[in-house]
Amino acid sequence: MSGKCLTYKTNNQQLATNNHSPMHCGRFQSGSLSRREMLVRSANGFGAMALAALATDPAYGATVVDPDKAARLNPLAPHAPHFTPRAKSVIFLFMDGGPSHLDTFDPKPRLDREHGEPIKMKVQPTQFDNVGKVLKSPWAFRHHGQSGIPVSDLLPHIAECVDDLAIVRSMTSNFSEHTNANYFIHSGSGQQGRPSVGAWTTYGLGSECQNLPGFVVLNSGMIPPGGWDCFASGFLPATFQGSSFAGGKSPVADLARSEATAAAQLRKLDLVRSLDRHTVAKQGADDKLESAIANYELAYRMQTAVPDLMDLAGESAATQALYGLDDPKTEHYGRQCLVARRLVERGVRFVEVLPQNLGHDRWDQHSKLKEGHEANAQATDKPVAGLLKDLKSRGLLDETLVVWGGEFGRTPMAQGSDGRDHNPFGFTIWMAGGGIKGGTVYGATDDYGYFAVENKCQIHDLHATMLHLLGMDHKRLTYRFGGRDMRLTDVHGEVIHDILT
Amino acid sequence: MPPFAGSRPRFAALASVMLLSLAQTAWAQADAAPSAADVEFFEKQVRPILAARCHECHGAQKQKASLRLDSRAGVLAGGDSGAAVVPGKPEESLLVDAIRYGDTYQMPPKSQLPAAEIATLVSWVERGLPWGPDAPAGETAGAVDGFDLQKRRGHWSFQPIMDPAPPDVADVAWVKTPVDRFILQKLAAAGLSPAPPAERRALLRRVTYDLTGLPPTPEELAEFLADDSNDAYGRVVDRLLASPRYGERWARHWLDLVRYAETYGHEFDVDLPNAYRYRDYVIRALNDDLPFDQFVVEHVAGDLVTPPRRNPADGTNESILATGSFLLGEAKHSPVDVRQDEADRVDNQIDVFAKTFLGLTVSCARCHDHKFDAITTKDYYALAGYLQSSRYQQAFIDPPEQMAGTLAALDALQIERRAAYVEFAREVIESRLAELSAKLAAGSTTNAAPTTGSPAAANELSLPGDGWGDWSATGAAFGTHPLRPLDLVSRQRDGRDVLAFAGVATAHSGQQTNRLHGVLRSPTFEISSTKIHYRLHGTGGRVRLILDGLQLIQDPIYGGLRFDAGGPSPHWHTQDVSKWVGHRAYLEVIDDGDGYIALERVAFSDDAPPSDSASVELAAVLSRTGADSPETAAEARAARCREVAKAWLAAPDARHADEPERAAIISALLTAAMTDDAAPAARLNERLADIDNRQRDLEKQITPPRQAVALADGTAENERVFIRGNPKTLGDEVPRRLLEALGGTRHAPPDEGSGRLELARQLVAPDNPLVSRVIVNRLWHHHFGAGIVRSVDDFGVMGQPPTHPELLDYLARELVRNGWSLKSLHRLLVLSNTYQMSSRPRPEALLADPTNKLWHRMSVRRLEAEAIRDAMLAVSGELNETMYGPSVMPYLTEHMTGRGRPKDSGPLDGGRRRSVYLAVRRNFLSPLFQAFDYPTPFTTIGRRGSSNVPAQALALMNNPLVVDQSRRWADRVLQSTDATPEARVQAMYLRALSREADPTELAAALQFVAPAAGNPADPAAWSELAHVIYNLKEFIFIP
Repeated sequence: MSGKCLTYKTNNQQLATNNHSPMHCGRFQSGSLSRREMLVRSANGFGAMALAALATDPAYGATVVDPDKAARLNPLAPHAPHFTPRAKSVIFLFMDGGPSHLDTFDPKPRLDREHGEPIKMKVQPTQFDNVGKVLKSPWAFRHHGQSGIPVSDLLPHIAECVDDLAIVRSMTSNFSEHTNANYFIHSGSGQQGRPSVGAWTTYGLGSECQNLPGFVVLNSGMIPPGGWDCFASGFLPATFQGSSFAGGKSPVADLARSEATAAAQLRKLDLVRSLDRHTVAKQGADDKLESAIANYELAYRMQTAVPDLMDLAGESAATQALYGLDDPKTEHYGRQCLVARRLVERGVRFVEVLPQNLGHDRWDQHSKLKEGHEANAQATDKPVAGLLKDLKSRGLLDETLVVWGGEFGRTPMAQGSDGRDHNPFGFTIWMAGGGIKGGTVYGATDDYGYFAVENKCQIHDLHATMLHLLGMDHKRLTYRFGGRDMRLTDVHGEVIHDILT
Repeated sequence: MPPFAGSRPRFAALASVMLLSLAQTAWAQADAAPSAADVEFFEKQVRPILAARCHECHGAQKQKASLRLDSRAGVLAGGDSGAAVVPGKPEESLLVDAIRYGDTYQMPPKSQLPAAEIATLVSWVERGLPWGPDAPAGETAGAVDGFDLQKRRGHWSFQPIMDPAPPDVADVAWVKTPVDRFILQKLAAAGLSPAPPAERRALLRRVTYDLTGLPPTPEELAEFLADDSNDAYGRVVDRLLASPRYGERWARHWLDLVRYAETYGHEFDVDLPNAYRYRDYVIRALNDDLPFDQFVVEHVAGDLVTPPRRNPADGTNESILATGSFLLGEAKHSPVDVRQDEADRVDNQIDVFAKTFLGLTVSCARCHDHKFDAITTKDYYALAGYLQSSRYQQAFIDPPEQMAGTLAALDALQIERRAAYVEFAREVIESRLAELSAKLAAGSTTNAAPTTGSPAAANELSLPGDGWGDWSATGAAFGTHPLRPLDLVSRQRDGRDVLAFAGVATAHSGQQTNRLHGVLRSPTFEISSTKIHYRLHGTGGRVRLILDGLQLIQDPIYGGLRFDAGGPSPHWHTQDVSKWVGHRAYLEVIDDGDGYIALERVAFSDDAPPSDSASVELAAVLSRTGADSPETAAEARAARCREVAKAWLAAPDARHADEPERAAIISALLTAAMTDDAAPAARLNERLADIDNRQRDLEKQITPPRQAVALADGTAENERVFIRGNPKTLGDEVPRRLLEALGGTRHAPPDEGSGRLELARQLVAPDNPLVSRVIVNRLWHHHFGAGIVRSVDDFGVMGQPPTHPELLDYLARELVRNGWSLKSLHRLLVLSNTYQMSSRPRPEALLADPTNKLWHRMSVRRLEAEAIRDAMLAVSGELNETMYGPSVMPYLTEHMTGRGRPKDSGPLDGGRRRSVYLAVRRNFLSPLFQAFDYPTPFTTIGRRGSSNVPAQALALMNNPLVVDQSRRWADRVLQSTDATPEARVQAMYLRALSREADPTELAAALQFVAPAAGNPADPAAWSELAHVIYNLKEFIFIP
């Protein structure tokens, strides 16, 4: 693998040397071990005392800490899941705005038949309350792959991968508004301030990579309504919040060295470290202090690990072309998909890819469905397919769960004449990769594609399934807050076993 | 008045009551045994469906929503939402609606039944719900209610507060305040001794950060070290508690509890105006040591306290500001389900209220009785009623006396104006009355049908006569009552302002001048027609229909709920509310500019607005003067004109029942007279010009009003239980009251208004054991790093029991004994020897008490995000100590993107203000703060996290603010008189770490800044050293 991960560097030089990165300057290392360090490390590893302390503090929640698995002072250290996982990482391709299932993966001949007529069923309140006539899809559907699953001509490249997809056509959400629906698909709650699914995942599993954050959000320039709280850690420790990686020279906040040269920074950090050590030696060790000292190592490594990650020069021309980096239309999103692959390759646990700014309102086509969806599809179809193919050819697809979907779908009747309004009552998402049974269609909407009527799935079911594939029981992944053992799935959620291998 | 019945009838509730009674009737009728064919139909076709599709969740094992479908009795008894079936009436049966995937339920939840099965069940209901003979007889539906209030009330936190005496201890010498006796007793029992005292420098640093959130200055340090008197430390504590910085520090702790923010979050992060006044209130209250019971009362009912406490500096209403805390939550601009949205907002308000003041998770009882605590669903909706009866307002907080003189002078001018007008009228019509009356009578020969005139019809929302009745007017603009028909107002006519009668009763915001601001609110009503018609005019201002408490009225769905005054000619504005029939609403008539808005009528109908114009037509008035022939009719009309004019001229201020008619007649007489003689009008205008000039002078004294987000009492309403939390399925109405477990049912429900003031008094009554316990525990938590009850926001069963229950109760008692003074409590805590212990770990004590529950030492604590930033500014010498006022906009980094991003970034250094004065914009929280565990403002956070993430190190290493402050600090150091590098290093250590560098540290620092190019005062090198010190763990960890 091109991006072999550094394990978390302890202050023990002998341990550290076998993970020496070429970028890492050996000067930024610790001196000899204190008596206390010896004591603690020889027992249970770094910070075991503090770990024990935290583990017995029920105010933080009984299941927060498992002293056998997690070094709590490095909360991102990998911990064992509840059972054997099918996937190690997740790539969530969030289709912000709500792509139309009726124009992608859920063909409805009735729309063709009744195009232009009033819809013959009761219409629910919609966001814009501007209900038009039945609107047929501008795109034809064709059968693809061994499975023969129909996909519309809007997504010709993803269609090629259809045998790898499990398409859930009966997804539902509880909210018609973007912001609430975004919070809901990200955190299992329609309100602000709850932990994102990526935060829950890293909280539950830690990360396989110790020089990058465990939960990375690839920001392509469009932040979903609801803002950064879609990726927040909520009541979980800040450790688990999503880190935004933007494009450009400084993809991460405060990542760019403030000093003119690396040497100047190292000289400074050396002094910080030696003065900190001196203080600890004088005043007695405290675990909080020690972990904060160690934290500087990770921060330091991130300064080089992130730019390395974002530098795609080492990727072959064929790979770049696979993602569409050679075409201005697909270059931007293709780059994000390629970075997503590089992130999971490095062991990052949860990657979310956000759409780019195409100068219109993402997948949210309240009008001009054809133009808008076409632009979105052009930007993302080939890169997404490229990602699936690339992961597969590298053997990574088996251990990576790819999820594609928006916060809701769209209505079968037009909004105005040529748009579609929000439809949380029935829509499509698909999954691929680790543990997913490819070439599957699950659930169904009614003849109009308005309501899910067969095997209805909630967002909670999606979350339960994601955690399940990662080896976690969504009912056991809890955190005590406000008098309750909180869960990503609240009191809901059932794993969708029918789409699993 | 049908639209505003006092209780809250709602369609769904009515429907379910109806269903129930019908069901009972049918039950009685169906007692006759079903036919054999029906039984066969049931057994062969229906029972298999019920067994296969329903019984898993609604059978013997599980009874979701308390519903059982395995017996006829169960079906008829129904579940939480009432009877499942009305025999014979599928269209009225919830079960049928549910299997058809209707609005309320969709069953079975996973997939709809095949059409044939639906048809079978519908047919079964149509046939009258036949059941087989083997049905378990007499079995009733519903789960057993396992809620036992008495038992649950046995939980420790509901028990009365004890009055424990501080225990006797052996080591009396160690005791500095009674707190120490409680701590020492438990330590001794565990065979532990307390830690030795902290070093004096460390102690000063600890207490200064704790009480003010800032480091001690070198001068303060020197003074303390030089003071070897016994009460040196006590004097430091007094000084710190007296410092304005104390309120700033502790206000921030409090703001965490009330999810303080200045925007609404959601999609566009819309501004929440004047939120900062709440923040300033908290700072002032803490600095003034406002008794905490009063602080609580003001939070719950500060708008109802009479007289309100006033800000001594500017006389503004201080008490009312506290109620803003309820309104600082997230809000949506276009919720598709507005009632659900209201329920969510109220839920957040209850959640924050109950956690903050009671340490209880009442919000858990929204859908079902609390799983663990003594809190029922009824308790929850009893509290919801208080909020249902309260409204959002931007309160006018200026002292009434501030404008009293101006308003009185304006009143006097108005009297003068009126006198001039009466004089003018006398001059014009008195001598010609007979002639003018005859002319009017002759010109109005129509035999128009008598109209009812101005009295409001039954389907109108009538304006009150005297005062504002059940309407409320805030601000000065609308005066003390609606204008009467014979009151004079300035009217636009032919492009000019002329004086004229109001003509009809009018809520008018320009009675005295257009410069005043104000808001008029109607009582709450239920929308019962598809249209609302407003008769209004105005040159500014607007009307808003507040639907289910929705304040953020914005497109797409809700744009039509507000409209502008629409110009000076009276006109009808019609609002289509067909989508909102059955919802509750009230009107806001707002004048917040230099125009006026005048509302004459509000009518409800499904059709066009009422055909009669609002002002009374002369013809209509005169035609009512009935007579037999055209001749006698004309004379009768003329006589009426004469009579009205004489009566009015004799007593222009007298009140009459027929004022609209009088206004019409006199106006017509004046107009008739003026058509051939403009001279009197010119004379009047001359007199008025002088009055107008004086008016303009007075208007210059009017300053824009100060406003603050606050609660207002609305129409009193009880809430009904939402079955399983669903506002569409309503249960019983619950009178407004405090939790039953806290004695809520012992008090009579409020008879008028929201009742919040009574609620507030019950909260702080001596028999409520929670309020005092919860607050003393919060203070302990912040001073010692963990609470006596570690789950500071949860004193319920799922929380932690107190480690030192007697101490907790002792402190709660002390608080009340000391007049609820928080500063006294601070003193009691920080003057204790427990607080003054060293934090240095001792291995043997650590083993015996690993989580420091016995407080065998002080805990090491990391500074909070705000304290870290403030400390940097204080150390660099940059801190701007300006207090209060609008917040400084956030510094926007390239990573802070998304909808609602402010147009401009605030300054990098935040104007060098303390962090508490930086704007809290929900969707644009400072990444620097978030890295250091700044909480998302969504609920009560009494205990922040203290995590350890690389973003913290990255921020301190590379954040431009940190780098910038390093440079500024270095510049100051180099400008100072500390000439030698040694002296500079020591000055920096003293300032940042409250101690001098030891020889090792000094040497390392000197080597670091050693001039490469021979300049011992190289700003770059010293800036780097400053940056190093900011990065030392000792800088942000307080031992």
